[in-house]
Amino acid sequence: MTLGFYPGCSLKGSSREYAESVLALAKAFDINLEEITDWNCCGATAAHNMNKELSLALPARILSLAEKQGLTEIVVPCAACYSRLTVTKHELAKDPALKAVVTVANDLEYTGSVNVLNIVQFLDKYIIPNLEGRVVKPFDHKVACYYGCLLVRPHEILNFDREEDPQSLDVLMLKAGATPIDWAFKTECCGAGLSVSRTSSVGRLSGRIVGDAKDRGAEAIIVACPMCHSNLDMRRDSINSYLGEKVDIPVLYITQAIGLAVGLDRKALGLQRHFVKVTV
Amino acid sequence: MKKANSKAKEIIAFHRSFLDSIKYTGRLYEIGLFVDYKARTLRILDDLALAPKMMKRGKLNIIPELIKDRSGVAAIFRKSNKKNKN
Repeated sequence: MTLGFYPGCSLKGSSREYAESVLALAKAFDINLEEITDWNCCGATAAHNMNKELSLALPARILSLAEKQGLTEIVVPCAACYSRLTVTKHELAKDPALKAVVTVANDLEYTGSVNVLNIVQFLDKYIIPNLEGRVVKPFDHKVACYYGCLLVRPHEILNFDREEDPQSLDVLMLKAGATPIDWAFKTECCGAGLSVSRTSSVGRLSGRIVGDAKDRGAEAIIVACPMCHSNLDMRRDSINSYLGEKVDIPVLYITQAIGLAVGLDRKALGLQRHFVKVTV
Repeated sequence: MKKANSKAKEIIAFHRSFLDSIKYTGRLYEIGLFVDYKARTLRILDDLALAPKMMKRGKLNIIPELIKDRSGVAAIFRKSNKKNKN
């Protein structure tokens, strides 16, 4: 089976272990993820904050290219890219005038026909139905599933999971043999794109998330967003400074955790790239 | 009246550096982003220790990823709402 694949910029650089684990897991389940040819950056928070037309035109180019390539469904593992692509589809569908402006900017055909899947939807639709009998090493740990902002909000557009106390990651981890905990910071912001421009805010916001996970006995934090991962993992020194103690709970992408459960090689899942050593 | 909060100048500088990066290459070039951001804000020493750690883990590309249709992406920037300068 072949599905379209939009990695986005982070998965080609600072979060390449996310791409490695997505591709390794897909391969293990005989799914070919075909990258969109000549894709561009979705514009991320920068375009969203600075220029509305640009924030729609950049994702529209990506969707147009997918259409041109004959892809009907694309997997978008980055929660931020997923949000931008899905919001763009929504905005252009409800506003023909805006669609016309964006289409002119793009100089490409755009119909809005491509179905965009986030990583949880991909796993739920294509991996979980075939998971039975494949779990050779259950992920037998208490886990805090962290959704962040962009996987579930804005609910009226994404229409995915619950806005408060979402469950989709928890259900997936349960199937991988883990024990998801109830905790208070599932959808609190980690500081997101302020990682470089206001690192102290990230230390405080992410510190509260890691602190609550630790207080409730989590042995790992499970994420589905490269930005959340960077803030919770790479910024652990700032987090520990905020917390006033050294907390060494590792942060795993959902695809790494499920990959471990089905017996994939740790290196193939990119676990050695993390800042906080993955001991689970 | 100024629309931007003056205390947010580093945040806006980061966004501008980010957009400049993709305007020229089509995809984000993280080293270029950091260098441009530091030049804009003069926060030279911030995160200096982080780069080698990222490099060691294979998280920073030395060479930027260039898409083929860079002129197409540049045209999107030109045509998109000229009231907003990037």
